[in-house]
Amino acid sequence: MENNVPSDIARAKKAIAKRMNSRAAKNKSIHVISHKSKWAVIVEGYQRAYRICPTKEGAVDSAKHLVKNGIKKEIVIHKKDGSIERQVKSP
Amino acid sequence: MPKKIPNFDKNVFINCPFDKEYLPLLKPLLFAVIDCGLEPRLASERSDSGEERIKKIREMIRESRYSIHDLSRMEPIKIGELPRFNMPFELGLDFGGRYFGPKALTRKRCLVLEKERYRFQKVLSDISGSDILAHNSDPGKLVQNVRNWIYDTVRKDIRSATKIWQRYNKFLSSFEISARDEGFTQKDIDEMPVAEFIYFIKSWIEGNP
Repeated sequence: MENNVPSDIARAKKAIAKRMNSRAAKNKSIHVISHKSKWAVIVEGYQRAYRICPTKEGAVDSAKHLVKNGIKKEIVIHKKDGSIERQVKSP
Repeated sequence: MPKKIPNFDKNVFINCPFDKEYLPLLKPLLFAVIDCGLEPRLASERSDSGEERIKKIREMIRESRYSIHDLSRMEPIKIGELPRFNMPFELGLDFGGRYFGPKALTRKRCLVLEKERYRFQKVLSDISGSDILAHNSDPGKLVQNVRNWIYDTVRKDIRSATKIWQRYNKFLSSFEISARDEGFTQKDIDEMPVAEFIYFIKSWIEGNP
């Protein structure tokens, strides 16, 4: 059975790559990301930032407003290093 | 006739720490290099314990026209520990290759990154006058430094620093969510080998050109 391990890893890697690109293609998220010393609201599928806010709370509120209005279904709130702090999904 | 090195004009030798503390800077650094169409080369890309580390580094320096050296950790991580000298040593090897190596290596270009502006002058004044940029341990600033250096030194047809930073954030969230959906734990994600992380960056960029 041990011989299956490398192929399992290869399969998992391919599956992650596939999932990543299918997520990106769906354009379903709003991202709150650090932007110099401020915070930006980025709506997937749009080239420019929707809003630049002085505080993270302000950016999250702005993103929540967009979700409430049905623009997108989820918010991904990032840490300063780009990793995920938390996801907020529309009810 | 000297043998032509494949990908010499695309390879970027990355000389930086590989510890957990540096990962929040290493990851966007790798993404920015790949998103600008270049190929990062790191000592950790092959984990053959039988291979002599210095031999591997020498080979990478010889095969890379470009290099990025981050000297921001020229200090002990904890009180009582000694500072790391690997990075300045490898920077010296890279500089040496340019002056004493084969002719092709005279075309080498390097970027030196530091935490604070001018701090290196206190300990490494011999490299004053080189391209040295400070990132203040801010990943966004590091992406901006790397992107602007690539623009000045390598190629003009690249995205803005803001766009690369936004793409990095999107990539990282897609990657983390997808990896978790496939059963990876946060520890698996955080401690993933660099070569594997590079595979996912390339896969994402391929799907999001």
